[in-house]
Amino acid sequence: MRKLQVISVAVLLFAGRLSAQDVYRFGATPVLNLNAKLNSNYSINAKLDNRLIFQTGAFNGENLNTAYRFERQDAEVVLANKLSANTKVAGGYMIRFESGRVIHRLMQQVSFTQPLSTIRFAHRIKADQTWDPDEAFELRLRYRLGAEVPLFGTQVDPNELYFKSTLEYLARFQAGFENELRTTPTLGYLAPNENAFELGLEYRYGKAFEAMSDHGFWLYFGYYVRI
Amino acid sequence: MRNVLKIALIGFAFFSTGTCLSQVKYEREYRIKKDTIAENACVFIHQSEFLEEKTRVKWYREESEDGTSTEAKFKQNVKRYSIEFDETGKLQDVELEIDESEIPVETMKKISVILERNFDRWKIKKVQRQWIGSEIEVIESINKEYAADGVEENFEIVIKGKVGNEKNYYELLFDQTGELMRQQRIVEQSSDILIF
Repeated sequence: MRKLQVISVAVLLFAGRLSAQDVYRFGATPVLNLNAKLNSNYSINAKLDNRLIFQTGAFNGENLNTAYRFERQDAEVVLANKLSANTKVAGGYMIRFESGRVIHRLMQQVSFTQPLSTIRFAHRIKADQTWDPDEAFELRLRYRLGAEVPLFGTQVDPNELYFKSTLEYLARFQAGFENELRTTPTLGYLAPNENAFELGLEYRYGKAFEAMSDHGFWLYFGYYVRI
Repeated sequence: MRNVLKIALIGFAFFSTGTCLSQVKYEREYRIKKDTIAENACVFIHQSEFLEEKTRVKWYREESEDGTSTEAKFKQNVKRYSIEFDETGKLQDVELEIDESEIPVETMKKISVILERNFDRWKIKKVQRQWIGSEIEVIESINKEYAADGVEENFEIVIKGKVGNEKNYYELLFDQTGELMRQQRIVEQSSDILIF
Protein backbone atom coordinates (compact mmCIF):
# COMPACT_ATOMS: atom_id res chain seq x y z
CA MET A 1 0.00 0.00 0.00
CA ARG A 2 2.85 2.32 0.90
CA LYS A 3 4.45 1.58 -2.48
CA LEU A 4 1.20 2.51 -4.23
CA GLN A 5 0.99 5.75 -2.27
CA VAL A 6 4.56 6.61 -3.29
CA ILE A 7 3.75 5.92 -6.95
CA SER A 8 0.53 7.97 -6.71
CA VAL A 9 2.42 10.88 -5.17
CA ALA A 10 5.03 10.59 -7.94
CA VAL A 11 2.24 10.79 -10.52
CA LEU A 12 0.81 13.85 -8.83
CA LEU A 13 4.27 15.41 -8.78
CA PHE A 14 4.43 14.89 -12.52
CA ALA A 15 1.12 16.70 -12.62
CA GLY A 16 2.99 19.46 -10.85
CA ARG A 17 5.08 19.86 -14.02
CA LEU A 18 2.33 22.06 -15.34
CA SER A 19 3.22 24.57 -17.96
CA ALA A 20 1.04 27.60 -18.59
CA GLN A 21 0.11 26.26 -22.02
CA ASP A 22 -1.11 22.94 -20.66
CA VAL A 23 -4.80 22.43 -21.19
CA TYR A 24 -7.28 20.94 -18.81
CA ARG A 25 -10.78 19.56 -18.77
CA PHE A 26 -12.97 19.27 -15.72
CA GLY A 27 -16.17 17.26 -15.54
CA ALA A 28 -17.84 14.11 -14.35
CA THR A 29 -17.86 10.51 -15.45
CA PRO A 30 -20.74 8.37 -14.18
CA VAL A 31 -20.17 4.66 -14.87
CA LEU A 32 -22.62 1.78 -14.66
CA ASN A 33 -20.95 -1.62 -14.55
CA LEU A 34 -22.95 -4.85 -14.80
CA ASN A 35 -21.40 -8.23 -14.10
CA ALA A 36 -23.05 -11.60 -14.58
CA LYS A 37 -21.53 -14.98 -13.86
CA LEU A 38 -22.37 -17.39 -16.68
CA ASN A 39 -20.88 -20.48 -15.00
CA SER A 40 -17.98 -21.26 -12.66
CA ASN A 41 -15.41 -20.08 -15.21
CA TYR A 42 -17.09 -17.54 -17.49
CA SER A 43 -18.56 -14.14 -16.70
CA ILE A 44 -19.75 -11.23 -18.76
CA ASN A 45 -19.21 -7.58 -17.96
CA ALA A 46 -21.14 -4.73 -19.52
CA LYS A 47 -20.33 -1.08 -18.94
CA LEU A 48 -22.00 2.23 -19.72
CA ASP A 49 -19.69 5.19 -19.34
CA ASN A 50 -20.76 8.79 -19.89
CA ARG A 51 -18.66 11.92 -19.82
CA LEU A 52 -19.94 15.38 -18.94
CA ILE A 53 -17.75 18.46 -19.26
CA PHE A 54 -18.14 21.42 -16.90
CA GLN A 55 -15.12 23.49 -17.87
CA THR A 56 -12.15 23.47 -20.25
CA GLY A 57 -9.25 25.81 -20.84
CA ALA A 58 -5.53 26.37 -20.51
CA PHE A 59 -3.79 26.95 -17.20
CA ASN A 60 -2.73 30.41 -18.40
CA GLY A 61 -6.42 31.37 -18.52
CA GLU A 62 -6.79 31.28 -22.29
CA ASN A 63 -9.64 29.50 -24.13
CA LEU A 64 -11.78 29.26 -21.01
CA ASN A 65 -15.07 27.55 -21.72
CA THR A 66 -17.49 27.05 -18.84
CA ALA A 67 -20.39 25.78 -20.92
CA TYR A 68 -21.73 22.46 -19.63
CA ARG A 69 -21.82 19.82 -22.34
CA PHE A 70 -22.25 16.12 -22.86
CA GLU A 71 -19.09 14.84 -24.50
CA ARG A 72 -19.56 11.15 -25.15
CA GLN A 73 -21.14 7.86 -24.25
CA ASP A 74 -19.41 4.47 -24.26
CA ALA A 75 -21.06 1.06 -24.16
CA GLU A 76 -18.89 -2.01 -23.82
CA VAL A 77 -19.25 -5.70 -23.30
CA VAL A 78 -16.45 -8.03 -22.16
CA LEU A 79 -16.39 -11.82 -21.83
CA ALA A 80 -14.04 -13.08 -19.10
CA ASN A 81 -12.62 -16.55 -18.54
CA LYS A 82 -11.14 -17.66 -15.23
CA LEU A 83 -7.76 -19.33 -15.81
CA SER A 84 -7.09 -19.94 -12.12
CA ALA A 85 -8.44 -18.79 -8.75
CA ASN A 86 -6.85 -15.37 -9.23
CA THR A 87 -6.26 -15.03 -12.99
CA LYS A 88 -8.72 -14.00 -15.69
CA VAL A 89 -8.41 -13.36 -19.40
CA ALA A 90 -11.02 -11.24 -21.11
CA GLY A 91 -11.86 -9.80 -24.49
CA GLY A 92 -14.52 -7.36 -25.57
CA TYR A 93 -15.89 -4.64 -27.76
CA MET A 94 -16.77 -1.01 -27.10
CA ILE A 95 -18.83 1.42 -29.13
CA ARG A 96 -18.50 5.16 -28.53
CA PHE A 97 -20.87 7.94 -29.55
CA GLU A 98 -19.04 11.25 -29.65
CA SER A 99 -19.83 14.47 -31.55
CA GLY A 100 -21.92 12.62 -34.13
CA ARG A 101 -19.20 10.02 -34.75
CA VAL A 102 -19.37 6.33 -34.02
CA ILE A 103 -16.08 4.87 -32.78
CA HIS A 104 -15.30 1.17 -32.43
CA ARG A 105 -12.77 -0.45 -30.10
CA LEU A 106 -11.62 -4.02 -29.46
CA MET A 107 -10.04 -4.92 -26.11
CA GLN A 108 -8.00 -7.82 -24.72
CA GLN A 109 -6.83 -8.12 -21.13
CA VAL A 110 -5.32 -10.42 -18.56
CA SER A 111 -5.68 -9.70 -14.85
CA PHE A 112 -4.25 -11.13 -11.65
CA THR A 113 -5.63 -10.47 -8.18
CA GLN A 114 -3.31 -10.77 -5.22
CA PRO A 115 -5.06 -11.01 -1.84
CA LEU A 116 -2.83 -10.15 1.11
CA SER A 117 -3.74 -10.02 4.80
CA THR A 118 -5.64 -6.70 4.76
CA ILE A 119 -5.28 -5.43 1.20
CA ARG A 120 -6.04 -6.81 -2.24
CA PHE A 121 -4.01 -5.87 -5.30
CA ALA A 122 -4.97 -6.38 -8.92
CA HIS A 123 -2.66 -6.19 -11.91
CA ARG A 124 -4.27 -5.64 -15.31
CA ILE A 125 -2.44 -5.79 -18.62
CA LYS A 126 -4.59 -4.62 -21.49
CA ALA A 127 -4.37 -3.89 -25.20
CA ASP A 128 -6.98 -2.09 -27.27
CA GLN A 129 -7.41 -1.07 -30.88
CA THR A 130 -9.59 1.88 -31.92
CA TRP A 131 -11.17 2.79 -35.22
CA ASP A 132 -12.35 6.43 -35.37
CA PRO A 133 -13.72 7.71 -38.72
CA ASP A 134 -11.92 11.08 -38.20
CA GLU A 135 -8.59 9.79 -36.93
CA ALA A 136 -5.85 7.28 -37.71
CA PHE A 137 -6.03 3.77 -36.28
CA GLU A 138 -4.90 3.74 -32.66
CA LEU A 139 -3.25 0.99 -30.63
CA ARG A 140 -2.82 1.27 -26.87
CA LEU A 141 -0.89 -0.96 -24.46
CA ARG A 142 -1.78 -0.47 -20.82
CA TYR A 143 -0.85 -1.65 -17.34
CA ARG A 144 -2.99 -0.89 -14.30
CA LEU A 145 -2.26 -1.53 -10.65
CA GLY A 146 -5.27 -1.47 -8.37
CA ALA A 147 -5.48 -1.72 -4.60
CA GLU A 148 -8.51 -2.26 -2.40
CA VAL A 149 -8.39 -1.65 1.33
CA PRO A 150 -11.31 -2.56 3.58
CA LEU A 151 -12.04 0.11 6.17
CA PHE A 152 -13.52 -2.23 8.80
CA GLY A 153 -11.95 -5.66 8.55
CA THR A 154 -9.55 -7.89 6.71
CA GLN A 155 -11.63 -8.06 3.52
CA VAL A 156 -14.48 -6.08 2.02
CA ASP A 157 -17.74 -7.65 3.20
CA PRO A 158 -21.32 -6.59 2.42
CA ASN A 159 -22.46 -3.40 4.13
CA GLU A 160 -18.90 -2.12 4.50
CA LEU A 161 -16.89 0.80 3.18
CA TYR A 162 -13.59 0.43 1.34
CA PHE A 163 -10.93 2.56 -0.26
CA LYS A 164 -9.84 1.75 -3.78
CA SER A 165 -7.15 3.31 -5.88
CA THR A 166 -5.88 2.54 -9.35
CA LEU A 167 -2.82 3.73 -11.18
CA GLU A 168 -2.51 3.12 -14.90
CA TYR A 169 0.09 3.70 -17.59
CA LEU A 170 -0.93 3.80 -21.26
CA ALA A 171 1.36 3.75 -24.29
CA ARG A 172 -0.54 5.17 -27.28
CA PHE A 173 0.51 4.48 -30.85
CA GLN A 174 -1.33 6.64 -33.38
CA ALA A 175 0.79 8.19 -36.11
CA GLY A 176 3.23 9.04 -33.27
CA PHE A 177 3.75 7.81 -29.73
CA GLU A 178 2.33 9.28 -26.52
CA ASN A 179 2.39 8.41 -22.84
CA GLU A 180 -0.60 8.74 -20.57
CA LEU A 181 -0.99 8.26 -16.82
CA ARG A 182 -4.21 7.86 -14.89
CA THR A 183 -5.06 7.54 -11.24
CA THR A 184 -8.45 7.08 -9.62
CA PRO A 185 -8.72 7.10 -5.84
CA THR A 186 -12.26 6.28 -4.70
CA LEU A 187 -14.28 5.58 -1.60
CA GLY A 188 -16.60 2.62 -2.09
CA TYR A 189 -19.53 0.98 -0.35
CA LEU A 190 -20.41 -2.67 -0.84
CA ALA A 191 -24.16 -3.00 -0.30
CA PRO A 192 -25.78 -6.04 1.36
CA ASN A 193 -26.86 -7.26 -2.11
CA GLU A 194 -23.16 -7.06 -3.14
CA ASN A 195 -23.68 -4.18 -5.53
CA ALA A 196 -21.06 -1.49 -5.03
CA PHE A 197 -21.13 2.29 -5.23
CA GLU A 198 -17.93 4.31 -5.64
CA LEU A 199 -17.26 8.00 -5.46
CA GLY A 200 -13.91 9.54 -6.27
CA LEU A 201 -11.73 11.61 -8.53
CA GLU A 202 -10.14 10.46 -11.76
CA TYR A 203 -7.04 12.27 -12.94
CA ARG A 204 -5.71 11.76 -16.47
CA TYR A 205 -2.36 13.10 -17.58
CA GLY A 206 -2.35 12.93 -21.38
CA LYS A 207 0.63 13.63 -23.66
CA ALA A 208 2.61 13.09 -20.49
CA PHE A 209 6.09 14.60 -20.24
CA GLU A 210 5.58 16.63 -23.43
CA ALA A 211 5.82 20.40 -23.85
CA MET A 212 2.05 20.80 -23.87
CA SER A 213 0.10 18.21 -21.91
CA ASP A 214 -3.58 17.47 -21.29
CA HIS A 215 -4.92 17.22 -17.77
CA GLY A 216 -8.32 15.71 -17.07
CA PHE A 217 -10.02 16.04 -13.69
CA TRP A 218 -13.19 13.98 -13.50
CA LEU A 219 -15.58 13.41 -10.66
CA TYR A 220 -16.06 9.67 -10.72
CA PHE A 221 -19.35 7.95 -9.83
CA GLY A 222 -19.26 4.18 -10.24
CA TYR A 223 -22.10 1.75 -9.69
CA TYR A 224 -21.29 -1.96 -9.92
CA VAL A 225 -24.23 -4.34 -10.20
CA ARG A 226 -23.91 -8.10 -9.82
CA ILE A 227 -26.64 -9.99 -11.63
CA MET B 1 -31.78 -12.81 -2.94
CA ARG B 2 -28.02 -13.39 -3.10
CA ASN B 3 -27.86 -13.68 0.71
CA VAL B 4 -30.66 -16.26 0.71
CA LEU B 5 -28.78 -18.22 -1.97
CA LYS B 6 -25.55 -17.94 0.01
CA ILE B 7 -27.18 -19.20 3.22
CA ALA B 8 -28.86 -22.00 1.26
CA LEU B 9 -25.50 -22.92 -0.30
CA ILE B 10 -23.74 -22.94 3.07
CA GLY B 11 -26.59 -24.92 4.60
CA PHE B 12 -26.56 -27.42 1.75
CA ALA B 13 -22.79 -27.80 1.93
CA PHE B 14 -22.87 -28.21 5.70
CA PHE B 15 -25.72 -30.68 6.02
CA SER B 16 -25.13 -32.70 2.88
CA THR B 17 -21.52 -33.51 3.69
CA GLY B 18 -21.87 -34.54 7.34
CA THR B 19 -18.38 -35.67 8.25
CA CYS B 20 -17.30 -35.32 4.63
CA LEU B 21 -14.14 -33.28 4.24
CA SER B 22 -15.15 -30.85 1.54
CA GLN B 23 -17.30 -27.90 2.54
CA VAL B 24 -17.67 -24.26 1.71
CA LYS B 25 -16.05 -21.62 3.86
CA TYR B 26 -17.74 -18.28 4.14
CA GLU B 27 -16.73 -15.84 6.83
CA ARG B 28 -17.15 -12.19 7.63
CA GLU B 29 -14.50 -10.51 9.71
CA TYR B 30 -14.76 -6.94 10.92
CA ARG B 31 -12.95 -4.68 13.36
CA ILE B 32 -14.44 -4.23 16.82
CA LYS B 33 -13.62 -1.94 19.71
CA LYS B 34 -11.70 -3.22 22.70
CA ASP B 35 -14.52 -2.34 25.09
CA THR B 36 -16.87 -4.83 23.37
CA ILE B 37 -14.59 -7.80 24.01
CA ALA B 38 -15.24 -10.44 26.69
CA GLU B 39 -13.10 -9.67 29.73
CA ASN B 40 -11.39 -13.11 29.75
CA ALA B 41 -10.08 -12.58 26.23
CA CYS B 42 -8.80 -9.13 27.02
CA VAL B 43 -7.08 -10.32 30.19
CA PHE B 44 -5.47 -13.25 28.35
CA ILE B 45 -4.01 -11.00 25.66
CA HIS B 46 -2.86 -8.12 27.83
CA GLN B 47 -1.85 -9.83 31.07
CA SER B 48 -0.14 -12.99 29.85
CA GLU B 49 3.11 -11.14 29.25
CA PHE B 50 3.85 -12.60 25.82
CA LEU B 51 3.15 -9.27 24.14
CA GLU B 52 6.04 -6.86 23.69
CA GLU B 53 5.38 -3.26 24.64
CA LYS B 54 5.40 -2.01 21.05
CA THR B 55 3.06 -4.75 19.74
CA ARG B 56 -0.28 -3.40 18.57
CA VAL B 57 -3.28 -5.72 18.83
CA LYS B 58 -6.28 -5.46 16.50
CA TRP B 59 -9.57 -7.03 17.52
CA TYR B 60 -12.02 -8.61 15.07
CA ARG B 61 -15.41 -10.30 15.23
CA GLU B 62 -15.60 -13.33 12.95
CA GLU B 63 -18.93 -14.69 11.72
CA SER B 64 -18.91 -17.98 9.87
CA GLU B 65 -20.94 -21.15 9.44
CA ASP B 66 -19.32 -22.33 12.72
CA GLY B 67 -20.75 -19.39 14.69
CA THR B 68 -19.36 -16.14 16.04
CA SER B 69 -15.95 -15.69 17.62
CA THR B 70 -13.52 -12.95 18.58
CA GLU B 71 -9.99 -12.74 17.19
CA ALA B 72 -6.97 -10.81 18.38
CA LYS B 73 -4.43 -10.28 15.61
CA PHE B 74 -0.94 -8.95 16.02
CA LYS B 75 2.50 -9.06 14.47
CA GLN B 76 5.48 -9.72 16.69
CA ASN B 77 9.07 -10.59 15.74
CA VAL B 78 8.07 -10.64 12.07
CA LYS B 79 5.44 -13.31 12.80
CA ARG B 80 1.68 -12.84 12.43
CA TYR B 81 -0.45 -14.25 15.24
CA SER B 82 -4.18 -14.73 15.39
CA ILE B 83 -5.71 -15.77 18.72
CA GLU B 84 -9.33 -16.89 18.65
CA PHE B 85 -11.82 -16.86 21.53
CA ASP B 86 -15.46 -17.89 21.76
CA GLU B 87 -18.15 -15.34 22.65
CA THR B 88 -17.56 -15.81 26.38
CA GLY B 89 -13.84 -15.10 25.99
CA LYS B 90 -12.70 -18.73 26.28
CA LEU B 91 -9.52 -19.43 24.34
CA GLN B 92 -10.14 -21.54 21.20
CA ASP B 93 -6.82 -21.63 19.38
CA VAL B 94 -3.72 -19.73 18.36
CA GLU B 95 -2.66 -19.48 14.73
CA LEU B 96 0.83 -18.45 13.73
CA GLU B 97 1.74 -17.76 10.11
CA ILE B 98 4.77 -19.75 9.04
CA ASP B 99 6.69 -20.61 5.91
CA GLU B 100 5.89 -23.86 4.11
CA SER B 101 9.44 -25.05 4.85
CA GLU B 102 8.69 -24.98 8.60
CA ILE B 103 6.30 -27.93 8.28
CA PRO B 104 8.15 -31.12 9.35
CA VAL B 105 9.43 -33.00 6.29
CA GLU B 106 7.48 -36.23 6.88
CA THR B 107 4.27 -34.29 7.54
CA MET B 108 4.77 -32.24 4.38
CA LYS B 109 5.32 -35.39 2.32
CA LYS B 110 1.99 -36.75 3.51
CA ILE B 111 0.26 -33.40 2.93
CA SER B 112 1.65 -33.31 -0.64
CA VAL B 113 0.30 -36.79 -1.34
CA ILE B 114 -3.17 -35.71 -0.17
CA LEU B 115 -3.04 -32.50 -2.22
CA GLU B 116 -1.97 -34.50 -5.30
CA ARG B 117 -4.89 -36.86 -4.72
CA ASN B 118 -7.53 -34.14 -4.15
CA PHE B 119 -6.46 -31.57 -6.79
CA ASP B 120 -5.41 -31.63 -10.42
CA ARG B 121 -3.19 -28.58 -9.77
CA TRP B 122 -2.37 -26.82 -6.54
CA LYS B 123 -0.11 -24.16 -5.12
CA ILE B 124 0.33 -23.30 -1.45
CA LYS B 125 -0.44 -19.63 -0.73
CA LYS B 126 -0.41 -19.49 3.08
CA VAL B 127 0.48 -21.78 6.00
CA GLN B 128 -0.48 -21.34 9.63
CA ARG B 129 0.56 -23.38 12.62
CA GLN B 130 -2.47 -23.93 14.87
CA TRP B 131 -2.11 -24.58 18.60
CA ILE B 132 -4.96 -25.81 20.78
CA GLY B 133 -4.47 -26.26 24.52
CA SER B 134 -4.91 -24.74 27.94
CA GLU B 135 -4.10 -21.07 28.43
CA ILE B 136 -0.86 -21.87 30.27
CA GLU B 137 0.29 -24.32 27.58
CA VAL B 138 -0.54 -21.89 24.79
CA ILE B 139 1.30 -19.01 26.50
CA GLU B 140 4.34 -21.25 26.87
CA SER B 141 4.11 -22.14 23.16
CA ILE B 142 3.94 -18.49 22.11
CA ASN B 143 6.93 -17.64 24.28
CA LYS B 144 9.01 -20.59 23.00
CA GLU B 145 7.66 -20.34 19.42
CA TYR B 146 7.04 -24.11 19.31
CA ALA B 147 4.26 -26.33 20.64
CA ALA B 148 4.67 -26.96 24.38
CA ASP B 149 3.86 -30.36 25.93
CA GLY B 150 0.13 -31.04 25.90
CA VAL B 151 -0.59 -28.65 23.02
CA GLU B 152 -2.33 -30.04 19.95
CA GLU B 153 -0.56 -28.76 16.84
CA ASN B 154 -2.23 -28.66 13.43
CA PHE B 155 -1.40 -26.98 10.11
CA GLU B 156 -3.93 -24.80 8.30
CA ILE B 157 -3.03 -24.38 4.64
CA VAL B 158 -4.60 -22.12 2.01
CA ILE B 159 -4.01 -23.26 -1.56
CA LYS B 160 -4.94 -22.16 -5.04
CA GLY B 161 -6.35 -25.35 -6.52
CA LYS B 162 -7.98 -26.83 -9.59
CA VAL B 163 -10.42 -29.73 -9.51
CA GLY B 164 -11.84 -30.56 -12.95
CA ASN B 165 -13.04 -27.22 -14.30
CA GLU B 166 -13.32 -25.63 -10.86
CA LYS B 167 -10.53 -23.19 -9.97
CA ASN B 168 -10.69 -21.81 -6.45
CA TYR B 169 -8.92 -21.08 -3.20
CA TYR B 170 -9.24 -23.87 -0.59
CA GLU B 171 -8.46 -24.04 3.10
CA LEU B 172 -7.27 -27.39 4.47
CA LEU B 173 -6.54 -28.39 8.05
CA PHE B 174 -4.01 -31.17 8.71
CA ASP B 175 -3.01 -32.69 12.01
CA GLN B 176 0.61 -32.97 13.14
CA THR B 177 1.10 -36.21 11.20
CA GLY B 178 -0.34 -34.81 7.97
CA GLU B 179 -3.79 -36.41 8.20
CA LEU B 180 -6.48 -34.27 6.58
CA MET B 181 -9.03 -33.07 9.12
CA ARG B 182 -11.03 -30.59 7.03
CA GLN B 183 -11.14 -29.21 3.51
CA GLN B 184 -13.21 -26.17 2.56
CA ARG B 185 -13.60 -24.17 -0.60
CA ILE B 186 -13.21 -20.50 0.23
CA VAL B 187 -16.09 -18.37 -1.04
CA GLU B 188 -14.11 -15.78 -2.94
CA GLN B 189 -14.66 -12.06 -3.06
CA SER B 190 -15.69 -10.76 -6.44
CA SER B 191 -12.79 -9.14 -8.29
CA ASP B 192 -15.04 -7.17 -10.70
CA ILE B 193 -14.54 -3.84 -8.97
CA LEU B 194 -10.78 -4.21 -9.21
CA ILE B 195 -10.35 -5.42 -12.78
CA PHE B 196 -13.13 -3.63 -14.74
